[in-house]
Amino acid sequence: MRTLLLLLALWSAVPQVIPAQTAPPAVEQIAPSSPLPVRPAPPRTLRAHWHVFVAFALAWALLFGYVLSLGRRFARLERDIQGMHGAP
Amino acid sequence: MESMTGTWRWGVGLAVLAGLAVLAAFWMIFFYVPTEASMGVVQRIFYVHVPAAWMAFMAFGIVALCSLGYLWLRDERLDAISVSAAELGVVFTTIVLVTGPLWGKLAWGAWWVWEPRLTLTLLLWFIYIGYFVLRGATDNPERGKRFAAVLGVVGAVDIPLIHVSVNWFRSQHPRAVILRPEGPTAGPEIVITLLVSLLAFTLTFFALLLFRYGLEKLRHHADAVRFAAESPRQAAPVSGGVA
Repeated sequence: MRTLLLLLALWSAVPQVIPAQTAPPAVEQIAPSSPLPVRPAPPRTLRAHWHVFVAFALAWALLFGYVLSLGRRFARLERDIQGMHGAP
Repeated sequence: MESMTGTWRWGVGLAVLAGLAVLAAFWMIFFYVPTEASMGVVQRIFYVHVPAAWMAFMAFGIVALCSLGYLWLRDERLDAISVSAAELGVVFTTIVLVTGPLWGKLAWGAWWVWEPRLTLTLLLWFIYIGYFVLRGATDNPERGKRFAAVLGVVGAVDIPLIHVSVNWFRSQHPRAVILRPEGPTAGPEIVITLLVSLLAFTLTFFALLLFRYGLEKLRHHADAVRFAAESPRQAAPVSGGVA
């Protein structure tokens, strides 16, 4: 319950944090993107942080999932080979 | 089996290096590189999206070269490298296709746009899914390998098309910021962070490639053991192995 209250307090503090991020400390300009009409910069909201988090989480989850699948296939093959060696 | 241990050892060594490089890349992405001015924090997806795309291109480049070699020499090792790289190519292209829309939704206001680069990348993913479908589509495994090798060579034509699509067609996707004849347009912090991230992805790619190749060798070994168990008078399988 205390954890939940703490999370709620943190969540309510978020709107005060976000406006401070609207002016990034250092400015880097990436390449001019396209000849199409330039869209206005996306709003700096918590949503952007969520997108970054989900992108990184999914990318590494895919890689870890692949490593797990490799491990499982290794184990199955080694079991098969041992079974064949042990077979009469 | 001796060479399998060597492959495994190299894989573990590269995996350790990859882990260190990934930690360095994470630190640079979240603490070193400044927030990009026009796109804000969501631009940090760039440091996963772009290296994953380069790894996918490299994977399918390896598939094309080894498939060509397999069609010419019929060397099972080349086929083993091809199938290992193709699997990794699908994994890294999936990362590109997953991270791109998460960036695009905030930058363009849409999860997906049917513009040339995105469409050609999706086509690349389908081509290499087709590579695995073809391998298993025939009763004769050798014929399946040959068909897949042809697709591996032909499918690689899509890679340069993806690269030049932003210049040849009216594209919503950003143009290259690093690989430009006149030099990178991004700031030095962005370029350095991208290069460290690229190093982390490259080491991860080759570690996984070695593990996947080791798995393929083990599968050939299992086939040889099974063949010997089923026909004790014959010494080795007809097609040979990769060990």
